[in-house]
Amino acid sequence: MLIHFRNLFWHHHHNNHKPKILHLSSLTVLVILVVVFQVALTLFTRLKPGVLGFAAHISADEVVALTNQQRQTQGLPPLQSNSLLTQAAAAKAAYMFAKNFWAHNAPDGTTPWFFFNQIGYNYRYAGENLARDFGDSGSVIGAWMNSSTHRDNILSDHYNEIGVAVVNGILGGQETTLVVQMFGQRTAAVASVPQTAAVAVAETKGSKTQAEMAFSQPQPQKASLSQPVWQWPETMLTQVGGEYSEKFPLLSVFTLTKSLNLGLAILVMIVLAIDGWLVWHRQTVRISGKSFVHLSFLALVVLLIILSGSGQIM
Amino acid sequence: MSKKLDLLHSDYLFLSLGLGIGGGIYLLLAHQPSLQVGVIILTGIFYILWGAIHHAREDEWHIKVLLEYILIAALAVTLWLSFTLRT
Repeated sequence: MLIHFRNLFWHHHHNNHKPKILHLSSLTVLVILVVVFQVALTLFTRLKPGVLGFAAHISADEVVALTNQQRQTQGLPPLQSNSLLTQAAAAKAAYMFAKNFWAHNAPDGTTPWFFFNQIGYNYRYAGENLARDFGDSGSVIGAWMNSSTHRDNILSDHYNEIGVAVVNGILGGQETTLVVQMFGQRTAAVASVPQTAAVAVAETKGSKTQAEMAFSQPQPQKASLSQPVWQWPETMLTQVGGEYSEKFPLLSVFTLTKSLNLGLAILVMIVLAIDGWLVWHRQTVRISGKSFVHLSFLALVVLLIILSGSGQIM
Repeated sequence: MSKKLDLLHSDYLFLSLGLGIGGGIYLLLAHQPSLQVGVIILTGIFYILWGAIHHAREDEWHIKVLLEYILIAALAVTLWLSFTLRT
């Protein structure tokens, strides 16, 4: 057992003066193990949703406060929390879970403006920011502020009201936390046709480019027959200003993957460092790649994994 | 001798630049996993190519060496990619 362990991590003539874990066969096994583990994890989260998921600690009130903090640093007036906008945001989140999509516009054509109208918020200006899988409120605001279109929404002087919903649910078979932030300025008189609207649109999916979509004029909307009829759960309508009180998953898939990946990378890095030193120290001649070069590539990956946070914005 | 050393230094400089640019772009594309995936794969390919060319220039090229670079790149890319796709 001890000999096997030594051969795995240390130079010896039994392993041809190269730790067994760095042999081609062992590296192949490690790659296969990582892939199999990830596939198994994905299957498990789909078969047993709620056990593994994303444990977020985001508060809607905190998102509103941090948004206003950003506005105040730019000399803009704070946004007032509006219960109608909060309900519209909760309804949008519920709709994304119900229809299993992650976008401003639903696959069935439902636009963000539908939720404003449906809840009875007659707007002059309206906007929407989306986020998912973030661990805390500060990270959500930070990601939005780093995206020009989302930042434009947060710092727009067109808006004077805000509603935020933080909702847990299962999207694409995976436990996730959605954050929907809706901005608005109501019309003085009740009107069903918006004059102007802006929405921050993600940089990736969708047929239109960011620039095309960022200031797109929405189609005149009425909560009428032209719109899909969908009733959101009553619980959504009552959670004004707070988080959706669904139970959190026992373990975060993100944290589990991050920990195991970092652990494996660091283990291989340690073996590479010792191997490189021993090769240099003993002047070993062998057909092999350069340990310190492999070490630097893995160190980059470890550094990026540590520096990167979770979450996506749209 | 000094020419060979310069050659090696330029190789390592090129590797550092390539990995640095890959890492930098990855961070710039934070919260856009679909674009980050492309950066990860390109960085992995760059690493394999660098290994093959570097060892050929050093007259140390061998299929086992190439396979080692491919497998280290595959391991690094798999770890990096699986993390990114979970964000």
